[in-house]
Amino acid sequence: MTGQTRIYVVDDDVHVLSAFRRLLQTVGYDVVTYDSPNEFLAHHDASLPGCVILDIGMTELNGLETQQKMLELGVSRPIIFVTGLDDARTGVEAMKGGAYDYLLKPISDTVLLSTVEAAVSRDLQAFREREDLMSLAKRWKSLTVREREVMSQIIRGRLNKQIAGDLNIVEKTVKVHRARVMEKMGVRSVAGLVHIAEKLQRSGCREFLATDHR
Amino acid sequence: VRNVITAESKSGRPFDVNFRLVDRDGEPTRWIRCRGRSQTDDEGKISRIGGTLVDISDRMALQTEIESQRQSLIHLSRVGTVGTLTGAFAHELSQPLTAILHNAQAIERMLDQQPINMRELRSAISDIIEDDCRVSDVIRHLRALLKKDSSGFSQVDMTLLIHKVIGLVRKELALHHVKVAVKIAPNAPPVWGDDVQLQQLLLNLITNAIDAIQTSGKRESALTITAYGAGSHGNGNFHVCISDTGDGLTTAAMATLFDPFYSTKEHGLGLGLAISQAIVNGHKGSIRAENNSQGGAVFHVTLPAAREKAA
Repeated sequence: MTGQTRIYVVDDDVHVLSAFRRLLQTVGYDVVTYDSPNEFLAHHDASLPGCVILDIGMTELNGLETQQKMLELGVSRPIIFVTGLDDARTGVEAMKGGAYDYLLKPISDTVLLSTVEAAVSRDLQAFREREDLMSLAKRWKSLTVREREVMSQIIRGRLNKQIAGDLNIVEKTVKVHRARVMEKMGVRSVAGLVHIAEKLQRSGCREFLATDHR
Repeated sequence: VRNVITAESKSGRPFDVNFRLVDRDGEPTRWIRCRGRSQTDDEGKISRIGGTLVDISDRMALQTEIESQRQSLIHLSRVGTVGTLTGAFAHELSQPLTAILHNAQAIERMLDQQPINMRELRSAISDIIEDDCRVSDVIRHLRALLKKDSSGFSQVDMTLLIHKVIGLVRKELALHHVKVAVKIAPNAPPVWGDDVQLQQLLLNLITNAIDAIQTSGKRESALTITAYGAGSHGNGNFHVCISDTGDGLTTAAMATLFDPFYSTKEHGLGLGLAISQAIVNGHKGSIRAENNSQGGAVFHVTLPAAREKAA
């Protein structure tokens, strides 16, 4: 198991906590346990991918409330809820809040471990996508104002001649800008550039959205 | 019987005794009530005894029947109350069971690894043993709650009992975000009563309050339990008020509240409050309900305090 992931377990029953910790450690996970949801919210490390196993029936702050707090704090870590109470309404609420899964105690180790593995791999992928986006945004920010203008024209399918007319520059200069844009953005085709633009658009990169792409 | 009649006759007081007639030929035992008084002559000797003999067998049988019905009804409703606590018990049981299971699974995997971490192995095993004891405790608790025969009357510490019942519904309270405030005055006296029945009474009233709060669905919900003593030592009373922030009681509900089979709940049998009243009456106490200033309901229960034992 990669050392760059971490599993958090939050349950107000210390015996359940150490049992989860022992089981997860036997397959090599880095496990951190909290018997207080507030402690978890205060101390967890968002820079590490992984997942959190959250008990529903905690007295200090129940599982769903902890999930809400995580959303408010912008923590997108996948949540695996565990509960001893088979209550459909709680389950629906948990899943609506974006939970990864909802498991009824007692849980078989194969189910638990495979769920944890899947949740971790999803978080790893989300982390990779975030990193990918961050590097794309960084590339885009390295473009000059003129290059950004040219790029937004290219992704709308405009020809060099049209771009030159719009921006009031000679076609040769447009060609130079176009080559720079392709190089800086790390793509070879217009299609690749359109794809990146869509990704940036979806990610909500503020500067990118503020630019005029009409 | 003769002794009673002779003794009472000598004093000249009227007598009233119940006695049984046991028939050797297999006829059922009859209960006879004998009432009368004696008359004495000038010398103080009994001159005549007058009175009546009434066969009260049917009445005695009926009374016994009513008492046993009452007991089984109380027991039945206790089973029902425990049913509503299934959630809490499920949680209490599933926590240690989960811990036991995962520890056992971890041990299995640890044994396949080299080198075996003996310290972890040992602590996992000792945790399993401890958790097994926790499960046994829950089962013992459940059994005590369900046991049929009441333990009889004794001096009951209501403060302890209130906390015990809150402990039982702790998980329900957490799940429905109900904050509990318990205010018990230090002068609250012990009660002379049946602890199993009194526990059931509190459980009924508290689960009702939780249901009312849950049905109303208000954001801020609170359950307040206030208890205090009143009256002088020796013949004082114990008062407890259970107040909720539900939707309160309608005038119509107020009138039929304690009637059996009256319920506002979808799956309610309508026995909870009827039983609660039966328990209170059995303890020579009183119970009444009203609405509180927060729009919820409040139940007042008054029970006679246990008589102070001579120090």
